[in-house]
Amino acid sequence: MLVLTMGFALQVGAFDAPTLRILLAWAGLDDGQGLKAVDEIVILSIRLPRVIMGALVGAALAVSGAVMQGLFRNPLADPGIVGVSAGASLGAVAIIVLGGTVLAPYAELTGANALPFAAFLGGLASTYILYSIATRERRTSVATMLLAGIALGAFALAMTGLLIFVADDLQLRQISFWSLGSLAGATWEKVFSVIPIILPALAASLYLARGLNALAFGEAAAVHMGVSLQSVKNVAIFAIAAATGAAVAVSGGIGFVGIVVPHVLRLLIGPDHRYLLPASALLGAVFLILADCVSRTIVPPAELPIGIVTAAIGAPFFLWILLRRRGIIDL
Amino acid sequence: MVEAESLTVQYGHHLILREIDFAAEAGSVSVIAGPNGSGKTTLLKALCGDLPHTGTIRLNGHDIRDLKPYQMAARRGVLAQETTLSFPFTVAEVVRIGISARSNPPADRGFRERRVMEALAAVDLAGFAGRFYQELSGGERQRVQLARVLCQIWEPVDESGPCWLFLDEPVSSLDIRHQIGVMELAADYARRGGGVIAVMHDLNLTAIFADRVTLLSGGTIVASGAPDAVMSDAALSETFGCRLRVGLKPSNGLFVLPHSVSDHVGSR
Repeated sequence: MLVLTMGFALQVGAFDAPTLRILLAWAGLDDGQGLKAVDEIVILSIRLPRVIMGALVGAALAVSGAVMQGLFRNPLADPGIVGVSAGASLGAVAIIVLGGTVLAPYAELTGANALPFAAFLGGLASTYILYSIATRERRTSVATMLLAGIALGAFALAMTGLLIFVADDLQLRQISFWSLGSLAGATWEKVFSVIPIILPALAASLYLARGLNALAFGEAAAVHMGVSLQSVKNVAIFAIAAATGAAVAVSGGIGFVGIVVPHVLRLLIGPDHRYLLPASALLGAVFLILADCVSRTIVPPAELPIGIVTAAIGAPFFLWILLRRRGIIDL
Repeated sequence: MVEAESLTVQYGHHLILREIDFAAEAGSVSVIAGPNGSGKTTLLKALCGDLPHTGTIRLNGHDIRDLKPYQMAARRGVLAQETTLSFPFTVAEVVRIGISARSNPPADRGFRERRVMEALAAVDLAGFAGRFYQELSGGERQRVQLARVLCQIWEPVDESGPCWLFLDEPVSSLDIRHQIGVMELAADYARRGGGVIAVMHDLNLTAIFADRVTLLSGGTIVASGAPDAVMSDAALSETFGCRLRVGLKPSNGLFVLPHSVSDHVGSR
């Protein structure tokens, strides 16, 4: 299904091109005669990295959502809602604005990966703060989590605003990219800069499946079932921060993927994390590629930011979950 | 053997357990009884390894401070008073999670499925496998959790020694038939060589099923021993603060009758 979606997404767009032949030629299976150079550029240098980026970001966001929901034992937890994405954005914006001055030593140290790594650190800090505030005496309070998330998000937003205030024009243009959320800036370079962050985070999340299953019974019961709680928490927080941070660094604030995808999958295949996590990665990739197709084609030749598409689907969905669960959440 | 030596547990400035010496033998059912707030659940939680404590707790001879969570999980299963479940698991999935809690879960899928069914049958929930846990009644949920715990430590004894069932008020939400069923299951686990430590409120079930009773009051042990040694009119009335009469059944064994409770509870 993922492969089909990727093929479909390569084909659609404001520009018509013979996709299949180009891919075959790229793989050395077609002699390439009669293909136009411009077609090749559109497919191989613009659409293909964009589709792959969409798959990576979609998988990263959906899996972070699923892991976070497992960790907080609540289907409403999502990096976008509880301020982790905002923290990651703050990290990214900080490096854009201050990378040449205050943070120059850091930028030199991390080189080409400065941006995704800064977003990762921002996400890590906010996930950690959130978890320590929301979990007291082995209980994670949903109300505290959501409220602390709002406060954290607002604070990160304020700090981001402050940075925008002092940014120059060039930096502002770079920053405006984050506020909307888009895959439009996808290049091979960016794809390769996030692969070493997103793939290990996805792999690590698979290791969490058994622990998250046990955690669904509460922290004490999870320990009784032999789970090393602290290591599950640490890996989960790192995986969430890494996947969200990397996704935010290359695509900005794309919301609600982490809510919609795991929730649909729980209805379809059940909540067992051994299946839920890999399935979230696949469906997240498919969902984001399709959302990106919509954003590219709905108002041609202009592009609608993909964050608008996912939020337009996701926000009503979130409210629907809330309504279905009424009576369970007591603030 | 599960032993605690001069066990002290504190919540903040409150001393919940004071210098307790406790021991439970494998092959027997040990019941912890006492009034609300006497420290029963705290004692059980401490034995499970949940609470910071001073003193020593040993599980089959090992100080539990030296045991990793997975090592503890291989030796003892814990049924809490109440377990909340945050996602819509089916009954079979809940029980199966108990199997995967083992450090070396059986590889054969068919074997695992049969084990799930056996465990559900043991708690009188055969046919519930496909139901959603969250749609069950309180008593049914409690029995599903017991089936899960059983799957975690299915064999009462294995090559590295006895396994332990830690039960916190296992029958408090059950009807009388299932109260007896669950207690018989626990007694059977002990008879086959495992250990059972249960916090109980029902003194009659305690009289029937316990091999050993520990009476707690105000964070200390007031009496400990076989039911007919510990459960006397005076000791029970003193511990629970109401007049209780212990009688002898025709078929041998004790029963406990409440006796003019209102004199003490209502009017004091």
